Amino acid sequence: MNPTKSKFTVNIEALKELFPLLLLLDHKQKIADLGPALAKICPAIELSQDFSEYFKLITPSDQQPLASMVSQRDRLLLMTPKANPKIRLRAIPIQLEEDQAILLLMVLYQASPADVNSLQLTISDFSALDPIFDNMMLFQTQDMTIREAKEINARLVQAKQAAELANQAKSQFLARMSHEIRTPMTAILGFTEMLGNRLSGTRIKSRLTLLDWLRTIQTNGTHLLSILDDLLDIARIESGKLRIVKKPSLLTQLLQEILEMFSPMAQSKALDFQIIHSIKSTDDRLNIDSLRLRQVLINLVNNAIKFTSYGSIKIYAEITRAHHPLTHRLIIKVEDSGIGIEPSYLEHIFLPFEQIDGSDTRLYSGTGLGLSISKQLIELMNGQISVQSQAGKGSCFTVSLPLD
Amino acid sequence: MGVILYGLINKGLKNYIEQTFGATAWTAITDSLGLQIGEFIAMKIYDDELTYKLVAAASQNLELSPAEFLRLFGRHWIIYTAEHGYGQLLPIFGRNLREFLGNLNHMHAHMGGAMPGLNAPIFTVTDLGQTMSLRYESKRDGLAPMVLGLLEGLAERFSTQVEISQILYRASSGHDEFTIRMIT
Repeated sequence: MNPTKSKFTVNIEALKELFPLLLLLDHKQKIADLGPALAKICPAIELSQDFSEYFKLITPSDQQPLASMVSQRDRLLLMTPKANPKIRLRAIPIQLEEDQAILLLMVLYQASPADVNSLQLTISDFSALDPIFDNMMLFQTQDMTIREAKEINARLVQAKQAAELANQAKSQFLARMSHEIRTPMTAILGFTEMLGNRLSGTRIKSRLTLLDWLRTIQTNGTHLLSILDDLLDIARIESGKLRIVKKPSLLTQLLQEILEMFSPMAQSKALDFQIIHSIKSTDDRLNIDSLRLRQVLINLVNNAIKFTSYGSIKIYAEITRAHHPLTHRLIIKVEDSGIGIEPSYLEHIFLPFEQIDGSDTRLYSGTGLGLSISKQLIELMNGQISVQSQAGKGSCFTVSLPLD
Repeated sequence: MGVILYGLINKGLKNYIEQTFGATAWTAITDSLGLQIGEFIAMKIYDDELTYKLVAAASQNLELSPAEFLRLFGRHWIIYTAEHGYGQLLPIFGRNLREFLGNLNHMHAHMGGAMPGLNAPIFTVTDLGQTMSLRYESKRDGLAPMVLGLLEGLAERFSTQVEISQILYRASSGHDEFTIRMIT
């Protein structure tokens, strides 16, 4: 059976809707018609002008006649230097047999979303068969995935570095703490031995001297105990064994206890120590872990007094209420007029096992764990702790706790 | 197992809660579900049951109805996707609200190439001049309030003043339908 050729007429208007970047050339290769999107991006193109007037072949070489490319079904890459030098067009030429006209079905070549936007084109300016948007979505998604992977990788690198630094700080801390524990221990052992010798000897020193020695043993023992308490706390927090126990508690009562506890210490340094709050009696009963909040406040006030030689220590407390219950907060500030903190140390002060002065001959003794313990306790309560400070002018620590 | 869903939507949800209500709010929400989520991966496939659980827990924790929460999240989704890589693609699917709504299905069709098994909803838009009607059909139930938020977010993006109302509900009519009246 002989194959029969079906005869049909090409409806250019319908084709222009399907391929808005279409170009129709007559038998003399003059522009006979063009799709609406091509007219939009190359408004200078005029009908009846030569194809070569506006279009230049990039591949294949423009030495070849267009007709031969049609017969070879070449994939053309065109540019339009006069009409729009920024764009490239991929085209397939098709010979329309009845009148030797050539139809060029075209798509934008390697256009990015930015290119399409700068040409003021939308999806309706493209053929539904044009894979440009599938490619754009794919590239955009790949780009997003790469950015996401980079972000995750950066966070992992940062976490690894932080873990290494923390490990290093922990080693330094252990060395420092060995020294810290050894000093009071030496005093305790020394004075215990002296006391033993005196008590067993024939000549008994005066009663007052013996009492002094006993006080030194007690002071060093208490200091040792506070070091061990800090170490046990940080170990409990790090192992996840420390639990926050919230129960209704009177905030003003807690603040009053802090005031009474530290007033003698503040008075001994002639510091003005005050608590300023705006807590109404109806708001006083809060569902908080008062034991742990007390521990944090003790640490902050103790530090404030320790690092302040003259001036004042003030504790401010307020409850801020907002539209959503999750944004109701208890804000407590501990402000002092002490030595302040150098800007370079500010980012380290809440890190465990780091002290501003890490040398063996530090002016202020202690584990240096207090602020780190405080930060971790506040975070266990879903709150935040922050500090603002100026060296030589004082510091202000702010605790912000969400309220149920 | 529910319908599959890409992590991008969960990332957007987390981003919305953290930006609007703070990181502690997100922690409180995931804690209330007993979940340790960490970071979502945009192109990882998740069961959409997780998203429903997060929406339920968020609305409970933030004292918003699920519908109100979804509406607010829908508004944020437009901003979030624009800021996270798709901003340049949005104007290609429409230079104004009318054009964009008309191309929603086309946009989802092209997204399907990059996100296999996307399960995108189907939108049928009827242009009635000053008013447009938008029929919304989805394999997922209960997300019509998010569509309301999306429409509000899009109107804002295209600086178009509109009045949007839901006129049909899936429970009674088998599908959701909205009218969008342009205010000139």
